[in-house]
Amino acid sequence: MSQAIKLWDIHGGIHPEENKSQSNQLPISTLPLPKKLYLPLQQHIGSPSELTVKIGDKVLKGQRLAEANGFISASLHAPTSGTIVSIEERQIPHASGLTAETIEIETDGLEQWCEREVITDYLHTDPIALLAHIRNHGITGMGGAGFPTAVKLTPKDDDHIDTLIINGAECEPYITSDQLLMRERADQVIDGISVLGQILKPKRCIIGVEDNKLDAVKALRDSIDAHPKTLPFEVKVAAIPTKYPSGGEKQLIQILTGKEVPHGSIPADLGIVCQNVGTVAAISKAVLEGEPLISRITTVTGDAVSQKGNFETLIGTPIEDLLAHCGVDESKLFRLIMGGPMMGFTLHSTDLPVIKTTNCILAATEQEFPNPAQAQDCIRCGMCAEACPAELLPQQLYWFSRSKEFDKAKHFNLFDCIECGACSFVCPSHIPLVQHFRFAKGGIRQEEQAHIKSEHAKMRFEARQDRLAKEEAEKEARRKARADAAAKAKAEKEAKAKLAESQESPTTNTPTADASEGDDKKAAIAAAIARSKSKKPASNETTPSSVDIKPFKVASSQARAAHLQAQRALNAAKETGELSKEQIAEQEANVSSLKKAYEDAKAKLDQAKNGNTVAPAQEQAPSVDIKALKVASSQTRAAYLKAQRAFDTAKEAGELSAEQLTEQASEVSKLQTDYENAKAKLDAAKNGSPTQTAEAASSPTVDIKALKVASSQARAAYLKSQRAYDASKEDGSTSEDELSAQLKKVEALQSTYEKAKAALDDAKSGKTPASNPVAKEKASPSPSETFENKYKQVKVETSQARAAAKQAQKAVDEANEQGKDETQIKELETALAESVQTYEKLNSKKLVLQEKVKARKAVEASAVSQPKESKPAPETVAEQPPAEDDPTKKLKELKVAASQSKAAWRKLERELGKAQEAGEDTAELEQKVSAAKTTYEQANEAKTTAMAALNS
Amino acid sequence: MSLLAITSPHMNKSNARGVGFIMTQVVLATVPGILAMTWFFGWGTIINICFALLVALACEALVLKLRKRPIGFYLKDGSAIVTALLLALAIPPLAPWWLTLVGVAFAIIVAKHMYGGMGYNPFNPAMVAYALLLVSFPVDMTQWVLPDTAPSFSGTFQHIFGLAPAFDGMTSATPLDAFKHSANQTLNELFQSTPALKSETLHAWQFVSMAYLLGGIYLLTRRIYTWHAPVGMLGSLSVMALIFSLYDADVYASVSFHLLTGATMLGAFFIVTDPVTTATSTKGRLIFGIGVGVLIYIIRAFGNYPDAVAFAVLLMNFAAPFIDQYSQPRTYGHKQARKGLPKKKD
Repeated sequence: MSQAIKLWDIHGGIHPEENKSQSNQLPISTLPLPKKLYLPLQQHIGSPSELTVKIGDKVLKGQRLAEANGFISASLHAPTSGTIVSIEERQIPHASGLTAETIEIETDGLEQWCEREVITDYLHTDPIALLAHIRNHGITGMGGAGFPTAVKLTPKDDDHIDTLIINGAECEPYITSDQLLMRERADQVIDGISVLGQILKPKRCIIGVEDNKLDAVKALRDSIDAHPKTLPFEVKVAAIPTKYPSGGEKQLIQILTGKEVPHGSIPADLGIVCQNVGTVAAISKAVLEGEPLISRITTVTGDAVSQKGNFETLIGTPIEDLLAHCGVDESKLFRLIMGGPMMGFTLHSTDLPVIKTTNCILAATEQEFPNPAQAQDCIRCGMCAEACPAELLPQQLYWFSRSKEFDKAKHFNLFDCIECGACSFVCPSHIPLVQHFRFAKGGIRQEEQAHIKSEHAKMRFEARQDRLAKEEAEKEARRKARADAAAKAKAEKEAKAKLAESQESPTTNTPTADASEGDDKKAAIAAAIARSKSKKPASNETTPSSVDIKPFKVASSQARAAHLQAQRALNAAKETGELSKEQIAEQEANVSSLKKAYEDAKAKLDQAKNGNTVAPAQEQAPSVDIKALKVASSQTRAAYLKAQRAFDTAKEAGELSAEQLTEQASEVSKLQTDYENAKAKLDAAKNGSPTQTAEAASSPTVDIKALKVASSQARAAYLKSQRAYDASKEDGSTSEDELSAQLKKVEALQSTYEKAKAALDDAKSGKTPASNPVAKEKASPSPSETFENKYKQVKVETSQARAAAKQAQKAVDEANEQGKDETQIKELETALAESVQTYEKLNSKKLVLQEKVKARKAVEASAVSQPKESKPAPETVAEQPPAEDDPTKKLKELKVAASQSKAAWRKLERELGKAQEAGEDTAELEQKVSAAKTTYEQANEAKTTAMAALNS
Repeated sequence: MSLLAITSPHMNKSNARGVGFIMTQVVLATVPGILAMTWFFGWGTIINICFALLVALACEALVLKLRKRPIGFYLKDGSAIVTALLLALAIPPLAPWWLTLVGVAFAIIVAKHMYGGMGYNPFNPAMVAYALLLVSFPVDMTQWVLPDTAPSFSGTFQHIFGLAPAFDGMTSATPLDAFKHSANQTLNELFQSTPALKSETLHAWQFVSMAYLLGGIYLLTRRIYTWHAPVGMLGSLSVMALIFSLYDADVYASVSFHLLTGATMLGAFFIVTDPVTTATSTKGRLIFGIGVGVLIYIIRAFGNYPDAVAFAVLLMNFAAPFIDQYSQPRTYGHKQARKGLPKKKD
C-alpha cells in the first residue's frame, strides 16, 4: 500500500522553527468537566445558528441547542448535560473581537446523554441521508475557517468528485492536535474517509501528511491495511516535505495533484474535495457513534504554560480553565494566540471559550514572541516574492497598499493572497505585510460597495430625468390640447352669440331650435329643460284664459334661452380652466344680467297675466311668483340631478382621471347650489305668501332630497377614502402613523355619512325636521366652501402623498445602503416612482383647486354682497359652517405639521446615528436633531391642545 | 495581565536576518576583492574605503538629522556603508581624497536622500556618483597605478591627501581604457606594446575579478539575492563579446577579456544586484541584467568611455519600473501572468 506517490512542489514557502515537540510528547488527555460552558451561536462561516432552547432549560449531552439557519450554517449541541443559565451577547474568539449570542450552560456533572442516532450500515445508506446526518450533527471544518462540512460535501451537479484529499499536513508551527489525532485515532480518520467515500464516490483518496509526522503516517497506513473492506477505492498516505504553508487547501492540492485551483473556482470544479483530518474524524464519530461535534482536540502550548500537550476539550470550555489546567504562569503570559503562530489571532482575554475551530491555544511569553521590531523601509529585496506560495509580488502589493493605489493592487492579484504570512515572516525590514494586504482588501471591498451604490444612484437619477422629461412632454401636450379646446369653445361661443343675435328679431321661441345647433349633450340638456318646462308650467298655466300674453311669453323664453346659453358657455369655460379669474367674473356678471333680463321678462309676463285676470290680481300675485320660482327651482334641480347622475356613472366607469372627476364634481355641486338658491328663493317667496300649506307640504320633500344628496355625497367620500386607505395599506409604503391618520379620516367620513343617512331617514319617516339644519350645514355649504373643503382635503392628501414619497425614497436609500438584492431595490424604486406620481398628481390638483377657490371667492364676494338682504335663509346656513369648520381644519393642518416635523426629526436622528457609526464629526447634526425635536414637540403640543379644544 | 493584540503572523525570521544582516553579508563578500585590490594596487584601496566610510556616515547622519529621522535606527541598516564601500572600490586606488569626498557626499546626499532615501531612490547611488566623477574628472578617474608598483602605506596616504608631489610614472590607464584608445593597432601589437595590457597587468585584473566573483558566489549561497541579475548581465555580455569577436577577432576583444577586466564582476555581483534600483520580480531582474550586459558591451565597444558599468546600470535603472509592469510572475490559479497596468475605467 505504500508505493511512492508523485508529489509536486509549491512556489515559495518557508521553514519556520517547528516547535512541535513541546506538545506532542504526551498522549491526548481529557480535561476535567468545566463548571460552565459558553457556546456562541456563530462558530462557523455562514449565518448564526437559530436557538431551539431557552433559559432555564435542562439539556442533555448531545441535545441540539441551535439549528442551522439557512444552507450555509451549522447546528450546535450541548457538550454535556446541564442547565441553560443565560443566553446573551458575549465576546467570541474572533480576529476582530466580535460578539455573538452565546448560550451559557451550567454543567451538572452527570454527563447524561440524549438519545443518539447511529448509522452503522453507512455503506448502504443513501448519501443524502448521510449528508443530512452530518448537517444535523453540527460538523464544520476543524482546520481553520469552520466552513459547514455538509455544504462542502454537496458539490454542484456537474462536478464529479474523483479525488478526495484529506489534509493532515498541519504545517503551522507549534500545533500538534492533528498529529496526535492521526497517531492515536487513525481508525476514526479512516472510518470517516469511508463515510465520505459513500457520499462522494471518489476514485481515490490521498491523505497528505508532512514528513515531520512519520508516526502519524505509519498509524494511518496501518489503519488502511486493517480496513480493506470499507474502502472500495484507493486510499494512500503521502508524506509531503515539511514546508509552510503546505497545509493550505490550494497548496496541498497542488502538492498532491499538481493542479492549481483556478482563480475564482473551488476545488470541486477540479473534481477534488479536501477535508481536514479532524473533520473526517468528527464525521466518523457522528455517523458511527451518533456523537455530534461537541468536543475537539486542542493543543495547549507556549512557554507560559508548564504542562504542554493535547486535550480532548468540550466546545465552550473557557480558555482560562484550559490554561489553569495546564499550569499557566499569568505573569509570564504576554501573547495569547488562538491557532498557530503564522495565521492565528491574538485573544484579548482568557475568558473566551474554545470553539469548533480552536486547534491550538498558544500562551507565549515575551521571550518567545517579543514585540515586533520597528518596520524599516522596504528595500525591495524580493525575499517576500520568493516566499509567497501564491507567486505574488508582495513588495509591489505593499507599495500599492500603502499608497492606496487599490486598482493596481487588484491588478497585481491582491485577492489571490491567502494571508499565510510567509512574506511577513521573511521580510528583513520587519514590515507587517499581511496587515497591509488586509487593509487594502478591506479598502477595495469598501470601494466596490461605494461604486455599486453610486451606480445605483446614477441609474436612479437618469431614470428620474427621463421620467421628468416625459412628464414635461405630457404636460405640454395636455396644455396644447386644452388650448385647442379653448380656442374651439371660443369659436363656438362666438358663432352662437352671432346666432343668438340673429335670433333676437324672429319670433321662433322654442329652445330646441337653439339646442339643435349645439352638440348632443347640450341637446339632451335642452330637451330635458324643454320637457320639464312643457310639463309643469303647462299644468300650472291651464287656468289663465286666452288673453294675449304670447309676446311676453316669447320675450321671457328668449331671455331665458340667452341666459342659459351664457351660463353654459361659462361652465364650459370653467371646465377647460383656460379663462382667467377676471374673465370668469365678467362672464358670470354677464350671466347674472341675462338672468335678470329673463326675470324681468318673466315678471312682465306675470304682470300681463295679472292684468288679464283682474279680480284675484292681488291675491294671485304671490302664487304666480311662487309658480315661476317653482319652475326655476325644478329646472335647476333637473339639471343638477342629471349632472349628478352623469358624474356618478363616470365615477363608476372609472374611465375619467381624478382631475376630470373633481371638475365634474365641482360642477355638480355648483348646480346643486344653484338649485338650492332657487329653492330658497321659492321658500322665501312662499313664506312671504299667506298660504302656509304650500310650504308645509313642499319643505319636507325638498329637505329629503337635499339630505339624500348630502347622504350620497358623504357616502361617496367615505367609500373613496376607504379605498384609498386600503390601497395604501396594501401598498405598505406608507408609515403606521400615516395609516392611522388615514383610518381616522375614513372613520370620520363614515360617521358623517351615517349621520347624513340618519337625518335622511328621519326626514323620510316624517319626523320633525329639527335635525335638518345640522345635516344641511355639512351637506350644503356655500360654493366657495365646497371648493375650500375639497382643496383642504386635497392639500392634506397631497402632503400625505409627499410624506409617502419621501418614505419610499428613504426605503430605497436604506435598501441600497444595506446592499439588498436588486429585485428588492427595484420594487422599492417602482413604489417610489408611483408615490411620486401620486404626489405630483395631487399637487397639480391642489393647485387647480386653489385657483378655483380663489376665483370662486372673488366671484362670490362680488355676487353675494347684493342679494344678501333678499336671501336671509341661506345666509344663516352659510354662516354657521365656517365657525365649526375652522378648528377641524386647523387641527388637520397641525396634525400634518406634527407628523412632518416628527419625520424630519427621526430622519435627522438616523443620520446622526450613521454619522456616529462612521465616526464623523456629529456636533452640528446633534444640534439639528435637538432643534428638530423641539419643533416636533411644539407641533405636537399645538396639535393636542387643538384636539382638546375641539373635543370640548 | 495585558495581552498583546497584534495580527498574524506572530513569528518573524528577520529578527535574525534583518536589513543590517544583509548589508553585513554584502560587506563580508567584498573582502576577497578588497584583499586582491590591496595586493595588486597597494594600500590606496583601503585608505579610500576608510575615508569614504567616514564621509558616508557623516553625510548620512547629517541628512537624517535634517530630515528629522532617528539617526541611530537608520545608520544601523548599513546601506550608507555599502554605498561608500562600492564607490571606493570603483574609483582608482590613488585617487585624490577630494574625489572620494565629492563622490560619496554626492551619492549619499543627492543620489540617495534627495531621491527619496532608503528604499525609494530610483538610481544606484554609487553609480550616480561614479558617473558624476567620471564625467567631471576624467583624468583622475582613469589613472590607475600599475600592479606591484604601488608606493608604501605612508607614501600612498601622502599621495591621496596631497601631502607629497604626485609620482607620475607609476600610473597608467586601465586595460579597457588602453584598449579603447588603440584603434589603429591589431590586438597582438596592442597587447605587446601597451603597459596597461601587459600580461602582468591583465593577470592582476583577472585576479581581482575572480575575487569579486568569489564574493558574489558567497552571497548567492547565502540567498542574499537570486542568480537572475548577475547571470543575465554576464551572459548577455559574453554573448555580445562572442558574437563580435567571432566577427572580427582583431578588432573586438575576447569574451574573457570583457568578463575579467574592468568593473564587470564588481558590477555583476555588487551593483546590478542592488535590490532597490533593479526590477522587482526574478524575471524582471533577469531582463534587467541582460539589458545591463548588452549596454556595457555597446558602450565599451562603440562608446566614448572605457568602462561602462555605471552608465549601463543607470540606463537600466530608468527602465526598471517599465520592466516591472511586464515581468509579473504568473500567480497561482491564473492561466497567465498579468501585463501592464490596470486599465482606467473611464
